[in-house]
Amino acid sequence: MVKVKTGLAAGAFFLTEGGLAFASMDKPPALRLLGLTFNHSTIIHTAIVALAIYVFVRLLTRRLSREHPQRGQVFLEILVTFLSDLAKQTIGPNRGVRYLPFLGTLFIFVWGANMLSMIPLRINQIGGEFFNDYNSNGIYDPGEPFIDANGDGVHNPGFQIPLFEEPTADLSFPAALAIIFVLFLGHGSGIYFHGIAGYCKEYFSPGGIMGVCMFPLNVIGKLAELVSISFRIFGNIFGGAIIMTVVASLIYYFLLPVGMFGYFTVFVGTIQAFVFTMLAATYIAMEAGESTEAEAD
Amino acid sequence: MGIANLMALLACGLAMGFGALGTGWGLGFTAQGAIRGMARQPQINPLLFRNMLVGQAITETPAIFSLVVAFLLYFSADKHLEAPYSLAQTASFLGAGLCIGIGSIGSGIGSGLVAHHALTGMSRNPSAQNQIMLVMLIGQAWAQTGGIFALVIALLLLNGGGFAGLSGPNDLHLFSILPLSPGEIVGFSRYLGAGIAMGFGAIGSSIGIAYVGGMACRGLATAPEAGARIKTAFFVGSATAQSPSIFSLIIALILLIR
Repeated sequence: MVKVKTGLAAGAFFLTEGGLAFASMDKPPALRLLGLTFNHSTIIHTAIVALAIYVFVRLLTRRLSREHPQRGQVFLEILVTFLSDLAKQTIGPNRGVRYLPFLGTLFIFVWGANMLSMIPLRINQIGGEFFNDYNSNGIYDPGEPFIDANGDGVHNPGFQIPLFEEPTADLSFPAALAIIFVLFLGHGSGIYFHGIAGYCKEYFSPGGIMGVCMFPLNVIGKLAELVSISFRIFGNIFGGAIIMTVVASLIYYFLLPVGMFGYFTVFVGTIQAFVFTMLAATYIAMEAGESTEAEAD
Repeated sequence: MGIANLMALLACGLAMGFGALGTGWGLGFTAQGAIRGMARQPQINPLLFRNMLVGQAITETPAIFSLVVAFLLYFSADKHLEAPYSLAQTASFLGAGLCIGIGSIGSGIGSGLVAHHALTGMSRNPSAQNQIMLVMLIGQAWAQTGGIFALVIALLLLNGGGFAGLSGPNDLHLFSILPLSPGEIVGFSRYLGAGIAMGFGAIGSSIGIAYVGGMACRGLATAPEAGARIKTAFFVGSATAQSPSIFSLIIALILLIR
């Protein structure tokens, strides 16, 4: 019990005081440079995901053949067909195909990021200082010692932490993807297809004097899209990580509950990756969708 | 341990208790739709079962958000706070708990309603399954936007610093709380007000969007050929139904940043 408490307290502390990151305890605090905070753990895990996807897809597409497709080729073809159907259904039959590379990359990348904690490697974290041994003024203040299993008072009794954490459990990862795909790609396509005047007209949406009154609300509504899409996946994956940590620590890793792990990591991770992709496609479609009355169906 | 640490435990209970309320309700709605559809069309049972699981996995989101905030509040009880006896710090914990707890009620019920109507629609017209599935996922996601605003405000309330200047009475005796500094009362009102504004503001929007999304799913089942028009109306209608929760978000942010 003590282990869980201390482990999560340090994690939670870093979330509230630092950059909303579920960081491991043994790693140094995020690097601060030019007023920006760089969370190296997220950066490294993101790079690992990108590399793993590259290697995996390269392996699956080694022997492409039209007559005798291998198992990997069939799998990728199913995936691409599925994603291209999604793009065509949401954005439109003609323009949708153009967005397939973006949406496909987004889905595979986010899905891979959600699956990263499937790698069952753990670090044994023993002793040392905690981040929450420092108070908010940066002064070392460990407070009252915890009582460990032997009845000794220790400040950090040690616990196990996963070596690989989902980068999605750090807010900066989904927020960056939301800025790239919704703000740059979506709004950029809106300007590309409707022109700068047509794009700006959207912000005065009912038109007339009512439109002028609604302008600030429309702007905040567009910003809320970014907030909602990124916090949705962050909250889900972070919550799943907390549940798994607590359950695993409560039973002391005696038997990792495979069903729970399968549900919270595999099932919820896949569905949230899909929802993220689909919402990005919907937001792109709202900016750049084909005029539905004329062309659809 | 000050009064703020103790209040964090109360807020933890509030967050998880209210948060579980709406989500459980919504999960039941989803299963109800699936079972009614299975009885109507036994031959598409696997399809309905699969979509029920997907719908329930998304409906569960508000409860997971509440759980995250409840855990953070629980561990705040052990934390060394800047001002453990400050009423403002106390209010920030209570506000965070109320915000995510009450804000989750509408999200849970709303996303369950959308899934209920989508599953009913699928059982009426299985050939429109793909279209209904997409609208169901978008409708559920938008019905949860209020809950996500509540999560944002709750995390900001937990993150709130600046209590160092405030010092409440230094013991838990009830009557010694009365002579308070103006800063304390302002802080108390701001943080509790922000939590209540966002919490209650999220309920209506979520349920409102659920009506729009649910009826869009039913409409797609009845008239799949009108899909494009239904989707346009669904987008515009839910964007309008979203605005009240955006008002709440603005007021909560103004109260926090002030």
